Order: sequence, then C-alpha cells, then structure tokens
Amino acid sequence: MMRLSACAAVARAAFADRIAWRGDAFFGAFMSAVRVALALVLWIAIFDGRDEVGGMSLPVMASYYLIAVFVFHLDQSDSMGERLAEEIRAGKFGAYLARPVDPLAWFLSASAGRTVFQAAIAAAAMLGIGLVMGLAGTRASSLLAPIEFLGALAALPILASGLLSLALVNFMTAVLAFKFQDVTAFRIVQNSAVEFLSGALIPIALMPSWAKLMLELTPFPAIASLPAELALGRGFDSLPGTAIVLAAWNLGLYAAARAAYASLSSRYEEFGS
Amino acid sequence: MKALRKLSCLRVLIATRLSRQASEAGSFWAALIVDSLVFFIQAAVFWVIYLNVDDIGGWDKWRSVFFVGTFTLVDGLYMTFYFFGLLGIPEAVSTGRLDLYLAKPFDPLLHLAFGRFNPGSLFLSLPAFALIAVAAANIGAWPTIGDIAAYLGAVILVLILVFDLMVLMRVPAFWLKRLGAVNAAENALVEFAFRVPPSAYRGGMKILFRVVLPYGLIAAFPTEAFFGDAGAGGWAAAIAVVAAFTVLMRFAWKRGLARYDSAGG
Repeated sequence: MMRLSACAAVARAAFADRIAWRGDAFFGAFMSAVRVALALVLWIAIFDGRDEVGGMSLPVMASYYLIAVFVFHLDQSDSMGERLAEEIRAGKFGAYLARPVDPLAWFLSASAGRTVFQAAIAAAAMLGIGLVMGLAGTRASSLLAPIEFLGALAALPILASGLLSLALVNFMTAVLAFKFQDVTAFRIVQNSAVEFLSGALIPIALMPSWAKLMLELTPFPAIASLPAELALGRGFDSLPGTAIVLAAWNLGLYAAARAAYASLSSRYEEFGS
Repeated sequence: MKALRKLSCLRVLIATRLSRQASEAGSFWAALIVDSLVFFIQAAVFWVIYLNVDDIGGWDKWRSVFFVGTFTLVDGLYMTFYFFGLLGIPEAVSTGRLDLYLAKPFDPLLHLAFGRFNPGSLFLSLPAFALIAVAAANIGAWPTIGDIAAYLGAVILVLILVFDLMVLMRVPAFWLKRLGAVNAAENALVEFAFRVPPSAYRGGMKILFRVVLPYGLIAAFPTEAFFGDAGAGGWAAAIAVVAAFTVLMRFAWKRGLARYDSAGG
C-alpha cells in the first residue's frame, strides 16, 4: 500500500515537473501536428484519382494519421530511458538507490506522470486541428472521418497497456548502459522499428495479411494503429484477443525488465560506492 | 592557394580520424547498423504503399526506389563526412570547446564539421548503388555519361545544401541554451525529404519545400537530374537556392562567432 502511494507521489512529481517545462509539451504536440500535415501531403497525392486505398478513404486515412501520430508521441518513457542511461553512464545512478521506490517502479511511475501531462496537451492540440480540418459540423466537406465515441473509449485501456509495454522495453534498453555505457544506437534502432511496427509510419491495414497476423501477436499495434482504428469504429473484432496478448506481453516484459536490472546493475561502479 | 591549403588540411583531418576510427570498431558497426535500418524501414514503407497503388503522382514503384536509393546515398555521404561534426556545434559552443578550433590556423567550421569523419556510414553507399542500379534497369533507363555526370553534380550540390541547412539549424546555439525545438523541426523536415517524393508536391508546396525550406531538393533533385527532368531552369533554380543558402549560412555563422564568448575568449 505504501509502495503504491510512493509510486503515485513519483507520478505526481513527474507531472508537476512537466508543468514547469510545459513549453516542451506544447512543442511536442505542435511537431505531431506538423508530422500529420506532412503525411497528408503524401497521401493526398496517393489518393489523386482514387476513392480508396487498402479499404481506406482519404478522410479515414487523414483521421488515422491524426490519431496514430499523436498517440504514438504520447510516450515519455523514451526520454526517461535516455535520462536513466545517461545517469548510469555519468555515475549518478546512486541517487536512484536512495529513493523510496525501486528504479523500475520509479521509472514506470515517472513515465506515467509525464505521459498523462503530454496526453492532456495532445488532446487539446488534436481537438484544435480537428476543428481546423472541419471535424466539427460539415461532415460531407470534412477532410476527417467521424470519431466513434465507444471506440475511442475502448482505445484508452488498449493504449495504456501498449504504453506500459513500451515503457518496459525502454527501461530494458536504458539498463543496457550498465554493460555498454552508450546505448544511443540501441535506442535509435528500437525507436525506428517500433515506429514502423506500431503503424505510426504507415497503417497496418495496408500491410500484407501475413504481416498483419504477425503484428497482432505483438504489443506494437496498441501504441498507434489499434487506438486509431478503434476510434474510427474499426477493429472491434480483435479487441478481446488483443487484450489477452497485451496482458501476456506486459507480464513477460515486466519479468524480463526485473531480470535485466538484477543481472546488469551489479556491474555498476560509482566513486564512493 | 587558400582553397588548396584548406583541402590539404581536410585530407590530414580525415586521415587522422580514420586511424582513430580503426581502433573504435564498436561505433563503426553501430553507425552502419543504425543507418542501414533507417534505410530498410523507408524501403519497407514504400513497398507497403506500392502493394496498394501503382503510382504516386505519376511516379511508379521503380522511380520511387531510385528516389530512396538516392536519399540513402546522400545520407551515407553526409553522415560519412560532416554530419557528426556539425552535430557537435551546440556542445562545442556551450562548453567552450570551440576555443580549440578558433585557435588553430584552419577554418573552424570546416574543422568542426570534418573532425568527426565517420567511414562506417560510407558502407551505406553499397545498398544505395544496388537500389539505384536495379531501379534504373527496371525503368529501362540505361544512363549516358551525361546522365551520370548530371547525377553526380546534383549529388554534390545537395551535399553542400545539407551542410548549409545543418549549420543554420545549429547556429542558434550561440544565442539559445536549448535547441530541442530546432532539432525536432529539422528531424521532421529531413524525414519529409526522404518519405515524400517530389511528385506529391502540389501548388505552393513546391516553392515551400524547394526554395524556402529546400529539404525537398535533397533526394528529388539528383533523381530528376538523372532522368533528365531537371532542365536548364531546374538546374539554375537549384544552383541559386544552394548559393543563397551558402551565403546565408556563412553570414549566420560569422554573426554567431561574433557573439561567442567563453572562459578563454
């Protein structure tokens, strides 16, 4: 019980810290908007003379990118992982050992606090862009497809589970710094692969069926593609299976993160330790 | 004479860097693997798109493969020669490391840029050439000497342009403590440069991405030069844009240096 309250305190502190650096969050949301706009440049050209591509119309595609890109950039565990790896490398990891929660619990709690703040900013930015693009009101002339309220609601726990998986992977990548010191290359490889496999770069619906089947067995679609599909009223059939897959992955990744920390942290040396 | 001296200094700088890199096999392979993965993912994105459509704004699959191959080549070349050096400008300014470069009898910007020569990225040229050759063969466009010369000239031109753009994105380090926003904007524009073929530009987009923020030229212009689509007007416009950005870059760099102050300055 005490541990849970300590985790909540860490999350609140991380949230408050983000308020102090709110400019970064606003800029992050702005860059997501830029990415959506740039993706639309390509897709408007692809749709030139076509009604549908891979079963998606242009408004559905535009809405997909608007949601998937914003949702994908909610994750704050990557920057937390970068910070953790730098502190391990710089010999400042000792501070983590003095905290009232263990490093993994601190990492997950702080990532959650930061992500909630980013989500609040992103939701406001998405609403603004949605208004600009004509979501409110004239559906016929809108560049966006309508959002399904129930689907959007169902997307929230799926997204939270997906972000938890990603945070656990980011923690494992960060603790590799105990062994390799510089984990920048690991982070770039991981982030590039996750962006593609999550459907943030290109909708998973456009991929061949064997790729879709394989990705359904991973947590990646839950970080971008699945929340976007659900919010657009698609992909309800796979929801129960996805929930089971995500729960299994999170349990496995949690055990793996604990094991990785236990085996790698013994390598740490700090002046005075 | 001055240019010859600069070239001689660059040769020595690269030779020194090569001997140091030989003792850092880890970073060599890391750079190669990371760059190759980015290239692989972009190829996969276009592959998925062309599973669903035949063309993008009139560009077929092989023209886009050529475009990706060209971006990979340009990317490999600038990462080999100056990317990592220019990446260090903000740190050099904030820590005062720039003093070391100002004190030496060589252009400090070129010294900074080429001081982190990274041969690992040069290996990206191999898959790039393979992509370019396969795409050209499938299009049935066997190049003449003139096509190859035009292509190489265009690649050199965009390498100068990327150098200018990278410096311009880092010069604010002389005024600002944090460049996160500028870096994020640059990443988005570079991503745009290799993810969106020029056939997708409509209306004012052409002016925006080929003149004002000319990231759209990076892979597009050499591709157009190879296939003879650039024309005299296209060449004149590209040269004018690169010349203007080079002048702007040198001006901004000098203004930054004038503001630079450090413990030893």
